[in-house]
Formats: sequence, C-alpha cells, structure tokens
Amino acid sequence: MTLRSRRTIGIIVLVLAMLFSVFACGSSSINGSINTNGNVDAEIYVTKQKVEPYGVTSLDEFKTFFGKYVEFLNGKSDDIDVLKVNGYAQTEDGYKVNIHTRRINRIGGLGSLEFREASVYAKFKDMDQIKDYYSRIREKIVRVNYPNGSGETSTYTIRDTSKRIFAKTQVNGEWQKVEYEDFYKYLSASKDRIIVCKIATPIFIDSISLRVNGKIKYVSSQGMEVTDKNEVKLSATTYSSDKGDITALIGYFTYSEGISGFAIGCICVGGGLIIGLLIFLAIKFKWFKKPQKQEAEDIPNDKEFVLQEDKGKKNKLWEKVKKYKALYFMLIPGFALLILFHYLPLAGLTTAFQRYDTFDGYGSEFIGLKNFSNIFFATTSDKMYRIFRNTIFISLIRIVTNFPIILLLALVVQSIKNKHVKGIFQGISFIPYFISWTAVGGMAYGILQYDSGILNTVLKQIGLEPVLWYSTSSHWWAILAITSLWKGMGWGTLIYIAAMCNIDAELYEACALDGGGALRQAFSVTLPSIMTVVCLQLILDTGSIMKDNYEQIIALVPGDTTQLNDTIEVIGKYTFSQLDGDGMGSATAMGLIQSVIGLILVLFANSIVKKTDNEGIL
Amino acid sequence: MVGSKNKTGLVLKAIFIIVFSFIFILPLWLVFTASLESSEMFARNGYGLWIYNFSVKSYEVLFAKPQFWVSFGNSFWITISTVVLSVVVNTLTAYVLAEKDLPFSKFLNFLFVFTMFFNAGMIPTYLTIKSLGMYNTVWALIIPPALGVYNILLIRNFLYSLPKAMTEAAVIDGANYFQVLIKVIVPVSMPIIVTTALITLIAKWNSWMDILLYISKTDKNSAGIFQFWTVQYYIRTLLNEVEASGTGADGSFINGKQVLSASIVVTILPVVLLFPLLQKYFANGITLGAVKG
Repeated sequence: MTLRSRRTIGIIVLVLAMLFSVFACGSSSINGSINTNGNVDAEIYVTKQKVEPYGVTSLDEFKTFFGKYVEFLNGKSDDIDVLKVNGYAQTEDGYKVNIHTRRINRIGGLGSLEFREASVYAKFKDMDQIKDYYSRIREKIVRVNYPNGSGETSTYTIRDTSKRIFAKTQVNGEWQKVEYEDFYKYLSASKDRIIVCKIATPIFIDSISLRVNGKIKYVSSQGMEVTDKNEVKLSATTYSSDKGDITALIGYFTYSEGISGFAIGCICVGGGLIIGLLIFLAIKFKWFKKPQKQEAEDIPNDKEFVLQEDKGKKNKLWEKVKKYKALYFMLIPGFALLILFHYLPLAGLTTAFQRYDTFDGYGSEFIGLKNFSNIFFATTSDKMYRIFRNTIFISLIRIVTNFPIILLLALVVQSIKNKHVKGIFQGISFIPYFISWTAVGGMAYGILQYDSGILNTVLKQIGLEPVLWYSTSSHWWAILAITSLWKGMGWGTLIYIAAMCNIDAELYEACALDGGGALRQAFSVTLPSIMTVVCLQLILDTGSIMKDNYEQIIALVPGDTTQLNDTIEVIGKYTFSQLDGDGMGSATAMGLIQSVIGLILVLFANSIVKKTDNEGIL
Repeated sequence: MVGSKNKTGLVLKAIFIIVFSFIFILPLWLVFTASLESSEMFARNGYGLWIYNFSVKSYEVLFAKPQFWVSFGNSFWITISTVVLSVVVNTLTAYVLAEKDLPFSKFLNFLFVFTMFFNAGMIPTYLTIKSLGMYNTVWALIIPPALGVYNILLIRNFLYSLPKAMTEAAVIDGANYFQVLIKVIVPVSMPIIVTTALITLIAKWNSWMDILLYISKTDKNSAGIFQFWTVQYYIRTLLNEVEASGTGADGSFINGKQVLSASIVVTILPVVLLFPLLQKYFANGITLGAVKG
C-alpha cells in the first residue's frame, strides 16, 4: 500500500468511525422502556369479557380489532407511526399487547402523557398551586369516542373528586404518604424525571404496564401501582363525568434515571474516535515491517524477530516523545482549539438523527434516518428537494460562468506589457475581494433598488421598464452569479498568472516567428502550458459544488424576504433559519450530507489529479 | 506577449481594461458619491455617477449614532486581538507540524488538515459554542478563529523549504526548541507570517456571520446599545432598516440610504488604505506557500 492510499483509508476510517459513533449515541435507548425521548414500550392488558361485545372471541379476531384501533389513533395523531404494535399474546383472562409509542402526547384524543424533568414543576409559584395541580390531575380529560362514536374529541369533567390524590414514596420498604411541602422540596431540587399520565382509554383496556430506565421514587396514591423496582402499572378506573362514564388511567410518578443518555453519547463519540485512531495507528505500525528485507531470509524466526522489533520500536518511540516534549507543549493551544471547535461539534451531529427540540436538547427523540429519507424522498414536502436543487444550480451556474471569464481575465492581465498598467489593473481587480459581503450588499442595493438604483435609472432613460429586482426570484440566479464573479474574479486569476509566469519565453518567440498573433499565441502556447493548473482548478471547483455561499445570499438580500426563497433558498440559508427552530434535525442532516458529499468529491478530485502526475492536496 | 504588433489587439485590450476597471470600481464609486450628495439631489436622482451638491450631512448623521462608534471600536479591537492571537497560535502550531521527525507527526498533520474537508456544520458548531457558554460574549468572536488551518499550512509549507542547516547551527549552540523558534525561524519567516496576519486581518475585519450566529440581536446593554456588534454587522442592520422603512431610516431629513452608503465608505476605507501593502504581501505570499504549478 502506498502512502497515499494509506492516508485515504485513514480518512475513510476516521469518517466512518465518527459517523457510527454519532449514530450510536443518538440512539441512546437502553432497554426498551421509557426513555428520555418519550418513547414508550408498554404492555396493555385487556380482559376477555370487555371485548366480547365487539365480537372478539379469539386471538386473531382480537388482533384485527386492536389493529383497527391503532390505525384509528394513528390517523388522529401528528405522525402516522406514533403507535406501533410489537406483538400480541394470549393471557389467562384475556389478551396482552406489546406496543411502542413515540411520544404518547402526539396521539390525538387520548389525553396526555407529560414527560419532563421534575424540577420543571417546581416553577409553580406557591404551594397551593402545586397541591392543586397534582391533586386535581384527573379533573379534565380529553378523549376520543371509539369504536361506535363519531370519532370526535371531547373534554370530560369528572364529577366526584372528593378523594384527593397525594404522593407516596418508599420509606423502609413501605410506600407511605408524603406531604406536599416535602414533595415540592424534592421536585425543585431533583434531577429525576416525572411522568404525569392522563390517558383516556376505551372501556376494554384494563391496565397498562410501563417500565422505566431507573428507579421509581414517588408515585401517586391513586391510579398507579408499583409492581417492580422500575415498573408501574396503571389501572383503568371508570369515573362518572359530565358527559357520562369515562375510563381513564390517571396518575403520576417520578423516577431517577440510570445512566444518562448524554454520558453514553460522550462515551460513544470518544470510543469512536479512539477506535479510528487505533486502526490508523495499527495500519501505520504494521507497515514499519515492510522496508526490512527479512522476508527472504528469516522465515522460521519471523515471529520472534517481529516481536523484538516492535518492542525495540516502542522503547525508541517513548524516548523520542520525551525528546520532543517541548514541541508537544507548543502544540497545546492549537490542539486544544482544534478539538474544541472542530472535533467537539461533531458530537452535535447526533442532531441529524433526531427530531431535535431545543427544550429536550441532547435527549431529543431519536428517529434514525427519517430526516434523510425526508430529504431524499420528500415524504412530507418538496421543500427539501427545492433547497438542494437551488444549492446545486447556483453552484453550477457559478462554476460555468466564473471559470472561463477568470481564465480570460488572467490571459489579458498577463499579456499587458506595461508594468505600471499591469500592476494598477491587477490591483483594481483585487479590490472587490477585500470588501465584505455586507458592504457588497449595500452596494448592490445602490444598483438594484427599485427607486434609486442606478440600473433602473438607466433602464428608464433607455425607455425600458424598471424592474423590481428584489422581489423577482427568477432574476436572482443571475444576480448571485454576477456578484460572486465580480467579487472573486481578480483573486481567482492569481493562480493562473502564477502558472503563466513559468512559461518559457522562447515558446512565445517561436510562435511569433511562425507568424502567430496575440490570439494564436494565447491558444497554442499559454493555454496548453497551464493546462494542468486549469484542470486542477476545474476539478476543485466541481468538488465544491455542494458548497453554498450562504454568506453571500444572506448579505445580499435585505430583511427576511421569504418570497425569494423559490430560487435562493439554499442549504445554508435554510439551516440558518432553523437555528433554535423546529427543523434543526433536518437542517443538520442536510449539512451532514453536504459535508460528506463534499469530502467524497474532494477525495475523488484528488485522486484524479494524482493520476495526472501532479501533487494533490492530501 | 512577444512580437505582438497587432494594433487592433492593442485597442481591444485597452477597451477590455477600461471596461473592467469601470466594472470593478463602479459599485464603490456609487456609494461614495451617494454618501457625499445632498439629500434633495439624492432624493431626486438616486444613486449616480456625479455629485451635484456636495454635502457631508450623511456622515454627520452617521457619526452622531453611538451604536456606530461602538461597532467601529469593536471591529478594531476584535480584529487586532484575533490577529495577534492567531499569529501566535498558527506560528506555534505550524512550527510543530513542520517537524517531520516528531512522533505521530503524520497523524497530527492529518488531524488538522482533515478539518478543511469535513466540518460539522453550522448547527453543531452553534450548539457547541452555546454549551461552552460563549454565546453573546466577545470570546465567541475571537477564540474560534484563532486557529486557521489554511494559514498554518502556508507557514508549514514555507518552513519545509528552509534548509536544515539553519536550525542545526542553533541547536549546536545549545538552543532549545523555543529559542530556535524565536531567534531563528521567526525572523526568517517574517514575510509568510505577515501574509497570514494580513489574511486573518482582512477575514476578521470583514466577518459578520459570526455575529449573526453567536451574538444576541435582542440584548441591549443599559445605554440601549448592542455591545458586541461590529461595524460590518451594523451595515447589515442599516440595510434591513432602509429596506423596511423605505426612506429616511432615522427620521431626520437625510435619506437612510445615504447613511448606509456613508457607513460602507467608512468600513472599506481601512482596507483601501492598506491596499498597496496587501497587494504586495498577498500575491507573493500565496505563491510562496501554496502554488506548486
């Protein structure tokens, strides 16, 4: 293996290791119970008698029946797969269903399952409010009429609330009542999680068992039973209400979490990086063997020889490290900055696999590759497709227009004989590069603004209609290409001019002797000589096709004009608009796609360049 | 080109040069004239090539705004701090990375270069800065850009080209690594170090996205001023104001667009003044460190 392919493997391994660890730590669900995303694995118990009136007499009929119910509920919810059945079984007196739900509070019309950090509830202003909130949690319940009802949701107000609910905790193995003052103290200082259930169920559901990832601390005095260290059972109770009888599972409990998802995330990221590093080093050390010629000679003693060699090398290595100690110290600031601002953010890539919610932060719901499938297959909207299309089109237009014009400019500049003129013109062509995009935005405003911009003034004088440049989205692809050309043109000629300086003057003389004018010389002498640089530049440009210049777009377009989004919304602009918003997950996913594709393209371009006997970048 | 006596070719070239010079300078000229125009004339004619009635009113209005001065001062100090910090960090790092005999050197180099091709993206970086507690502080503007891998590569490649005899002489005289760096390497590498300093200077002076991302747009201090805005970002807010309100963004007689133009002129003035220096160092420096054509 050559050095080059070793490095390429190293890059690929490192990227894969990072992506894997990011993926792994995003899915921090431990043992199929309630985790911090609000994903719940539960068991529902149904007694035979309760479903018999609906014509269910066997397990298969129950499957059909319950399946319809699940379908019905999913139809009423935010997402179509909020409820999923994992399995059915028959029990002594009925049936049992293993279900999985994502965020039970997204199921329409079933009531609510609140799932938060306990300390959130400590924000109530006074004791009475807390007492009120918890002791009255069953007063108002929302439910859907099924299976014979209209399917509409209605709110039920329960009549008999004489028996107030209080909190219980385990004291010496016994569950005992706790005063609300103490409960409040616990809540405000605790890092535990609290679950408040107010689920209205159809009559046929008997009870639901929930397992949590931790130990149960406090439980409500009614409606819930602690059946195991980490398991509660909610029993359905029928209450009488203003709209008739309603069966509901009501109660609350708190539990202290096992290992936090965040810790696992960190371990995964660190582990991934270490694995990548180890693989890289292993490849590196193995190849220390190759330059030695012992393969032909010491075949029987091969293993011994290698072992001794490695040991010797290890000692030498450690001494070398000590010798260069000072250098390692000097590297510390740069290395620290590198890790903090370039590698640590990689942990944030987990957002791409989550339905990110700034409230939940790191523990947001893990939805795997859904963000990505949404982007590619447009499952919810074609917005993503449009964003990608814009990004690629704008880049393509930029490359196609900029590339030949920059080359042309370089040819012209190089051909200026007068040193002063050349220097001044080159200087002038550089100026736009040093101006910030916001200043360019202000200047563009002076040209494009409807009333006062110079472009419309000129149009009016010619007799044409002035154009609403800032409101017509179809013009912007041209405007963006032109402004980026204006800004980058002079700078872009540098690399060509540097290459042109190396061309032998004799070649020009020969061409002139053969009767070639300036144009001929350009085509036959200059262009072929700098062809390698031209190709390199073209390949690099293609490699950056996924790079959107969102800085340019945000600077050029004043205000929050979403009417232009048709053509100008690119990945970066969308990402920016999602900061602290709803779509952070899919925005990060898009950025990840961008980076990965960009990396692949650069590696590809690099290998092509290498094949043409040039030195690449890596 | 040799032997080109073609008159038409020369004329064509001259036209090309004149036209393109015009194109390059036009936008700057527009804002320049707009900032020095009287408000009546500007309201009538809009942006144009000539100044009809000279007036410095737009500058008066601009300079009367405290937010402008705060922003300008911020730009100044933040740029200088970043340049100083980055020169130190980049030079140190490049020096270490250039030492090929250092154990793990290839791996360390790889770690740094890799970030040029794969980055986490806007949102993860934003989350990191927030969780480090740097949101809405001046550190978010100075510390992350202190490490510039492109600049490190420029310096490192330059150091590769230095003859080993130079450092060996110093080592024989008993210098340790640090002394070799300060007394031998830095003086010789001055051109390339200055080049990277200028690159950082321009990049930082022109940067505004970091403010857009990491500085709050709603937290004003007691005087009603956004403490951490830089002048580039201020221009952007002016542009938004002008676009939103149409004319006269600040209610006085002067047209908001002219105040915007004045702010642009003031902002690009330092760059234009530094320009001869920049041209010399940039063109040479980049070719020194990068082009292998």
